[in-house]
Order: sequence, then C-alpha cells, then structure tokens
Amino acid sequence: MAQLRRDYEQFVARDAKVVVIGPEDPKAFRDYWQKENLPFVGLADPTHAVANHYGQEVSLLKLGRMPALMTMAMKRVKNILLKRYRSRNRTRIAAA
Amino acid sequence: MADRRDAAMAPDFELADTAGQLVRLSDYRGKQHVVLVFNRGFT
Repeated sequence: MAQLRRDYEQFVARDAKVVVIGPEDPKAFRDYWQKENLPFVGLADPTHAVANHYGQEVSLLKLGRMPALMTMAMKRVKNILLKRYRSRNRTRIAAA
Repeated sequence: MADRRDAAMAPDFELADTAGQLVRLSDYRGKQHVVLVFNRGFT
C-alpha cells in the first residue's frame, strides 16, 4: 500500500482513478483508511465476491502472508478493456 | 456481475466505499481510466 501511495500521483497524472479492493470487513477497512489517510477509493469485499470474480487468490501461507502481490486491472472505455499484471516490488502503470 | 470470460469489458461490480457510499465500476465508464488494485489485506 505504501508503494501505491508513492506512485499515486503518477496515476492521477494519467487521469486514472485508483480503486483498492480488500478482504477486510467494512469497519476495519474504514478504520484503516482513516488512520492512514489514504487518497484512493477503498472498497471492502469481505465475501471475496468481486475478487473471486476477477480470479484473485485469497489464500494465505501458514507462516504469514504471501508477498504483497498486487494484481491490477486497467479498464478503458474502448480498446484496452481489461488488463492485468503482477509486480512483487513495484506498482507499475499499465500502458493506456 | 457480468462474466469476465464472456465480456469484453471489465466485469461490473458494486461495493461500498469507506464512506458507506455504493460505488459501481460502471460509474466511471466513459469518464476515466480505472486502476483496480486487489489488496491481500492490511490487518
């Protein structure tokens, strides 16, 4: 999330709205957003309905969380409608 | 929600934001690029 915050202005400069979907319940999500003063749109998906629909994994390792992989989908109105990529270390901006 | 395998467009969905307002992906259609980030969790 810290990396995304650092890169946030680059998305804004490209007229992109950043929407983060997470598995926490709505209260935990809201509390975290307020505590961290995050600038993106945050959406709680506690049933994983949207994550599952987009084919996202939600399992955790026994000894801790899996690396903070982020999968992104960039939606455009016309040509590139759905684009995904993963990055272990950086949040990259998909070509639009 | 639309089926992502059949749809050319990103599947639409509706979830509540941190202010309790319902947000639909389709709200942005025709207006802005949207970057969806699926976070594994922060708590």
